[in-house]
Amino acid sequence: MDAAQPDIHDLYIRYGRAIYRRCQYFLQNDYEAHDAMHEVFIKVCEKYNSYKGNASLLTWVVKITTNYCLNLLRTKRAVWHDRYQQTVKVDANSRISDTDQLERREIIHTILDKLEPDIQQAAIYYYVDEMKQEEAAAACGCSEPTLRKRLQRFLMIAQRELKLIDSDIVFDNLINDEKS
Amino acid sequence: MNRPKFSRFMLEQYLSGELSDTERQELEHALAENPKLAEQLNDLKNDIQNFTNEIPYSSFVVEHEKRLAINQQKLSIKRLFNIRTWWPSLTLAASATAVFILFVNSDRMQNDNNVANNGTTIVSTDINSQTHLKGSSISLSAHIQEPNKKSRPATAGEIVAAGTKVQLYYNVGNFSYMAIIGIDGLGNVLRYWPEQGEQLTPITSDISETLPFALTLDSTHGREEFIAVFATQPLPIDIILKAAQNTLNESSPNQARQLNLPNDVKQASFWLIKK
Repeated sequence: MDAAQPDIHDLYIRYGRAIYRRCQYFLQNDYEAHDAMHEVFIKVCEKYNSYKGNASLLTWVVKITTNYCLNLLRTKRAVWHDRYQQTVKVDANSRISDTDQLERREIIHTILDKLEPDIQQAAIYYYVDEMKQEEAAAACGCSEPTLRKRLQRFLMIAQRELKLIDSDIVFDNLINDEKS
Repeated sequence: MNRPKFSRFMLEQYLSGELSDTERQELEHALAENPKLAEQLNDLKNDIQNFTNEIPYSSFVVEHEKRLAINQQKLSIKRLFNIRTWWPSLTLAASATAVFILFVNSDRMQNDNNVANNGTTIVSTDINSQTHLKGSSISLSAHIQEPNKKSRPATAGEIVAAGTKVQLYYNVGNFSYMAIIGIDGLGNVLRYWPEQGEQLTPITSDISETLPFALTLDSTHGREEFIAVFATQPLPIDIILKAAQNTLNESSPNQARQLNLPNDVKQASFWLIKK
């Protein structure tokens, strides 16, 4: 029995940009981002019937994109023994003007390679995608307290790594419960 | 690392109509009072427009349909292949674990950049592109590239020649972590995947993948097994390697090695023979 197929036009119009920009962010290469976007759409089509509506469709699509790109990066590293570049190239044409936001995205990209997979995902959803804790926890498949622990661990690792680069860097180490 | 109250993600949700009524009202109120936020929203709208100009749906969908068709084709081939390779193992795997062993003759390698621990050549795969297929069961299988460059599914215990390229496929099932090890004809326990790190590598559940490299077999006589180990937790690889070491005196040439691992850790293997 064939499963229902998603309206690919609707998905593309609503989420195409979100998928493509995230692929660009992870892969830092337009060609690879384009290829990755197509692969993500294939996965979205394959998994569409498994979407349970626990999180928003955008959250679900972002999760598939993030998992795909992280897997791709791990595979590339393993094949070529080429540790992920820690130099972050900020797109000169970036439309993001907020300095704090850029800083967060840069920091995470810089230390992505140092993070365990569950910490990677938590940090990306929370700091890069700027999901709420509830949404990030749903995307990670964990509880909100677990998410906060992972974010706390991310901050600890980030602090350790970035102190090596800039000993004057100051961190706010608190991950507060957004509901309290 | 302060977080804005109204995030970019929230703006994206707003534009795709996914905010609750309360959230939408709050955001619209903030947009009316905060020019910087309104500018961010405008930037996002412009970026969406730029994206659809850069990659219009009309060009996207042509490529999408093409890839979808290729994917369906792979799925059909994969299903056929899975039926063939799983058939003999079904009687052996009461725990629903498919077990195959791959006997591989490995030549000791010349090129340092392309040499695995055991000397089997690792090359960028040109045998088959990666497949991403849903599946509820674990498995390990292989394709062989013939001299005419065409590839075909290998059968367990098949006799192969030196220089044959072998591409390993694995089905992850519901597991989240995996590793692939080998035991060569000299009784060496070898680590293939992940190449680095101390734990099993995380993997997306319910997919089939190929290893990102093919193995070129050398002329060394003997038996080599490739064993994929699947777990729900990031188990230390040393445990797997030690379990493999412990089987060296136990296995007979016609049986798959059963690693002594925790009950929730499963394994799948494949084997070839070369003479």
